Amino acid sequence: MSTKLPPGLDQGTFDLAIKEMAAVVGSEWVFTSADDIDLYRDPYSPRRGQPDESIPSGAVAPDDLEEVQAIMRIANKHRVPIYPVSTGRNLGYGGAAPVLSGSLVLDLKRMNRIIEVNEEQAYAIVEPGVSYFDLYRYLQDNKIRLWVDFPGPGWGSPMGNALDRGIGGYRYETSIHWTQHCGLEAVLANGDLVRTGMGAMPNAKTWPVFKYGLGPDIDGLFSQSNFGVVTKMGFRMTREPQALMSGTVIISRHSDIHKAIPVLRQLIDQDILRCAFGLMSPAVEDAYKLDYPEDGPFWKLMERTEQPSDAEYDAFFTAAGKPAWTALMTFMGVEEVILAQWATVKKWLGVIDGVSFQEMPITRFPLSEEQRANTPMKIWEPSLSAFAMGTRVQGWPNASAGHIFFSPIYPMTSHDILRARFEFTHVLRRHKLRTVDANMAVLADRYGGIIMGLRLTQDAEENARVRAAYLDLVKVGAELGYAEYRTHAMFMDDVVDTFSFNNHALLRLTETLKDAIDPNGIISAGRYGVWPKYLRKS
Amino acid sequence: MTMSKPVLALSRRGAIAGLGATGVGLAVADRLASRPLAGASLYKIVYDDREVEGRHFGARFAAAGFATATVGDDPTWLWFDDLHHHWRRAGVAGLTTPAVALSLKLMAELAGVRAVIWGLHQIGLGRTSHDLSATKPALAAWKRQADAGAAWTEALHGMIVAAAAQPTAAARFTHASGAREDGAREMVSWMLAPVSKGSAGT
Ligand SMILES: Cc1cc2nc3c(=O)[nH]c(=O)nc-3n(C[C@H](O)[C@H](O)[C@H](O)COP(=O)(O)OP(=O)(O)OC[C@H]3O[C@@H](n4cnc5c(N)ncnc54)[C@H](O)[C@@H]3O)c2cc1C
Repeated sequence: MSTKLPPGLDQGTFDLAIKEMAAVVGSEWVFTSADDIDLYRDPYSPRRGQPDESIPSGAVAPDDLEEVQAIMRIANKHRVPIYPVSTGRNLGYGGAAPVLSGSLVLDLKRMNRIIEVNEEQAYAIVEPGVSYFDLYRYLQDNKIRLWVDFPGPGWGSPMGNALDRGIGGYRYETSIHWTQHCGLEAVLANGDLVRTGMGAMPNAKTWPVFKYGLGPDIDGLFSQSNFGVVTKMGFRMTREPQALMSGTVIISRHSDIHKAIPVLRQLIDQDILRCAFGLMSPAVEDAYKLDYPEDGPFWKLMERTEQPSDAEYDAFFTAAGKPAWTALMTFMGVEEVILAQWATVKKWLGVIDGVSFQEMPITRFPLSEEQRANTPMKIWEPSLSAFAMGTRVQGWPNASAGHIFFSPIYPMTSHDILRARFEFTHVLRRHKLRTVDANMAVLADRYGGIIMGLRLTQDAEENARVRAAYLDLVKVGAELGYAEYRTHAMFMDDVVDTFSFNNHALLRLTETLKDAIDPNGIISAGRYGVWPKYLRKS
Repeated sequence: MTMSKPVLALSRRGAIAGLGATGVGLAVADRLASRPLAGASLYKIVYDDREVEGRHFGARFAAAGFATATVGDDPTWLWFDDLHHHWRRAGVAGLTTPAVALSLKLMAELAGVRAVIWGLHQIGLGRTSHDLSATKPALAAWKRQADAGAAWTEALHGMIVAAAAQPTAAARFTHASGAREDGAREMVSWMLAPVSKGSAGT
């Protein structure tokens, strides 16, 4: 058996480790053939088929905690780098492929037990392999009126998504899924087992209800990192509301964003607007369509070296004959309260000239089976429909082979929203990538952000341009003070490099911790820039 | 009609050759016969009943005694409640929108189930072109029927039945390929089947 192995590991040692692991999990749960390994490559890789594509050496799939511990001990003994994934669906951010090529994927999909769902206290404790669909089905089948906040495609796992600090959306306080986790259990590199938060007390009744235990708050070390293999996690869940309603705010003049944003911030601060919401320009959407001319007025504006003035933007949007901004908001809770919230939104934003509002009918819960079937937009139900963006899209004549996400965050000010849209679109124009959408600002809490999917094709040259553009986006973002909240495995070093305060003091601290907690550097080498000592650049 | 030689890498695909009313590009899956299809049978046929071609396709299989299911734009619950419980044991084939085909293919791959047929059909006014990736026997079945003047949904039926009956291997390709033709409607035909030992998914 000849495999792509990471630096420092010879075939004999690898084969021996695989044999020992097979004795733990059974040989049917060890995957080393080319066909099987193929399934752990990143289907959305910008370097697919290229010499620098990260390809695992194999995968091993334990069924329970004891098997995970045994595998970690074997990996640690033989110094085999392993790469744990929950359901491994991190497409757009690297999939199940390791950061360090040749690592062995620790596939936790078989550990798919829902340990507990407590309806009264609105929490769940799950294993890594529990998918959003599993949890949703369980709630439905058991008529439990709790919701789980999921990401766009809803196809991954609460644990994997939370560990990568993925986002979803109907309430801003639940939208960053890591914030919803409450206590976790992890296996360390040497096979030792820890529980954090209140879970560190045996038989604690408060593991999934009180986030903080006693002493240093350790949980953060396990997210976007490589300090342990997480095997259980508590999640707070959202109680099914009495009612839900969506409304759209339509702002006709572009420059009125300067008036609207301070009002929106007030609405958030006064607990009236509690969702994460998208702010976008319909006329800009048009510019991404295939029939929009390359030298059309929007692209002319974006090709300037300086941000166009408000008057120039106003002239463009007036000529386009479409509203400058729309924002879709969701309200959930007690019917009287959400009606009052929407009325307040209308009253406060209604003072801006030319603002209009559209509202959707109220949905009242619980729904009958028939109502459930007939409700068009079920924001509480996970779906695969986001994958439509994986095929052909407007403005993209060739078939897409996936995308990589660029996800910068900025403060919620009108200045920053406009700056980010202009600067990032400008970079993409420079790289002749027209079809990447920097139009939608996602606003929540105190911040805004753009989540751009940079489309890949099967053409290596085109993908090389995407890679170059990505690096440029990171650089320009850093110059503007806009950092990414999460990044693709391929660009982790580049993005972490922008967090360089005091000669990379933060990275030096995490490296110090890494050396202490995982001295052989076997867990997820290179994840979020943290490399083990033996692979570290001086 | 031209048929390309077996291709060895993802990027080397069969060329599209115009043929009057029908253009066909064929690519034979690489790594032929690396492993046998586990079940060599078909569990279910999925078709988009909003499109006339989808209905023909579904009816053809139903008439031949296969179980069928319809799908529109969202395959979520068909996948979760039905297909994923079965596709590690027997194949599933369909004629759907590209987005539905892609979602199901991604979910299948995570369960160790592969696309063994992938066809992009661009249905334009007066011309339909087909860009097919499949194994040799499956493509031969298509060619036989197309040469005999059969409707393309009929040729698809022949191709899928041939793929299900023969030990074969995974086709190596990712997504619908080929530039979009002006104004054409697009459908993707696909067959997903257990090929290798797979991964730990379901
Ligand atoms: C079309 C499309 C739309 C998307 N939209 C969104 C979106 O709206 N929001 C969003 O957040 N994402 C989105 N994604 C990205 C991605 O699909 C989801 O984030 C998905 O939930 C991640 O996959 P997963 O849950 O299987 O996590 P995994 O892939 O299992 O985990 C992610 C990473 O976390 C680490 N990890 C996972 N489990 C463990 C563990 N048990 N122990 C230690 N480390 C671990 C690993 O390094 C792993 O690579 C989208 C993707 C696509 C293709």
